[in-house]
Amino acid sequence: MENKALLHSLSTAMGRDIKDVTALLDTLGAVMKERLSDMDTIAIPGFGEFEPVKEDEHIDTDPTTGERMLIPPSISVKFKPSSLLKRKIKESR
Amino acid sequence: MNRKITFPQLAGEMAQLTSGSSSTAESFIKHLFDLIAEKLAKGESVTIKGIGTFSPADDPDYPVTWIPDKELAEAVNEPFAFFEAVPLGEGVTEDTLEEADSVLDTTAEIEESTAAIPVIPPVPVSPVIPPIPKSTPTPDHEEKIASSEATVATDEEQELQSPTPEEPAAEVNEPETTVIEPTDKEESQEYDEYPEEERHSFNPWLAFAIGVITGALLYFVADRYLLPVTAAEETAIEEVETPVDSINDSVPALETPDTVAEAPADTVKIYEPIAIDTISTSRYLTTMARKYYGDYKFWVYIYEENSDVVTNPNRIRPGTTVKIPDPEKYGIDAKDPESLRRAEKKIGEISAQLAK
Repeated sequence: MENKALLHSLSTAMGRDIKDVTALLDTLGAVMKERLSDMDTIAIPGFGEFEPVKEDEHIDTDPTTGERMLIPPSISVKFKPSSLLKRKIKESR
Repeated sequence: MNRKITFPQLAGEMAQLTSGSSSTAESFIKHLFDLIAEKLAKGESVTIKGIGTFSPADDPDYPVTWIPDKELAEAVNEPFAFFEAVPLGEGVTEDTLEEADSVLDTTAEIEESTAAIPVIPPVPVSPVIPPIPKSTPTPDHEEKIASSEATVATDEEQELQSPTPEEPAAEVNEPETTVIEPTDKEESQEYDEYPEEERHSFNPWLAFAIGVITGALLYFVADRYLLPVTAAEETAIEEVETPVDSINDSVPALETPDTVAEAPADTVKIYEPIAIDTISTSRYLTTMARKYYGDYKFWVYIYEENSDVVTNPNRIRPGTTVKIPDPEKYGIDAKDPESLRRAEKKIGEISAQLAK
């Protein structure tokens, strides 16, 4: 489902103008970006958690060439679905 | 910082940014994620601009995968954005890397411990923040160290001074006219002032009197002796680490703050740091470089400027204060591609060095 369609169904669901919804979504994105950059975890009840995880530098070997690379440290955000969301998906299958 | 942002907090922050009500924000978040969950349950994947793509997966433990929006992922990884994967030569193993790290760690610890005993004059602090409030605590600080050093040093000093430990004190009480002549005697008086802390606390008036008399003496001998004497005093002050310092600290009490504040300023060269900043878990050299110079690549120069406190740019202890150098010092200009290229080259050199 694409962004536009999503915004559309959101605006009908909330009974708000599509402009408002777009602005809200932008703000949410900005807040999440800021919080996650600060290494804060964001918990959405009933949906899941967004958690930044720092990975230390490590050596990786390319299985095909055998070349070994020193992979620099990095921070990535992991998503953990809540049990409610898991159940919801499970039941619908 | 490593907090958990709850639903109301998230909505509150959104409300602040939109200057809307937090109930609107709450309802929006709820609707949005309900909608995503609904689509996921139907087996559809959802892409949201600024957040990322959620798609259903077969794994029963993790039935949803999420790929963060590119911009979001980059923002989160910004502290390490300047690192690239480096191919390793033969013979480099995890062990050798760990060894290198442990060496770096220990040097960092050593630096920290020496920093804990502030023998080194706090050079970085005075130039930036208005010098007067900052420099006044400095002498106190040094005085403390000096006095502790003095207790050790006085033993030696007393042995050296053994011929004259008592008599100068007596002389001091004599009328000024008798004492006019030699600078030698004057110096021995100065030495005698602080041989022991007991005496110091024992007779503060004596110390005061000596101070006054010394001043008077200086005045009397001004014509012939003033220049050499003050010069000698100043050199003594600059030798912060030597026990001699303890003498200087309290004799010309009025002069010390100035001279001490000046001494470190001399070592900073012409370019003064434009700011002082503190490393934290979310503020790295890169974020500072972007803040002060407009491009994260210029972190190398901050790193270079602070090579005395920062050994490994990837392992800076939170709380470390760093000097932000004057952009002119290194020709930093975010708009100049040449300047950027130089920074990149430097990054390459440094990461190659670290990879060794």
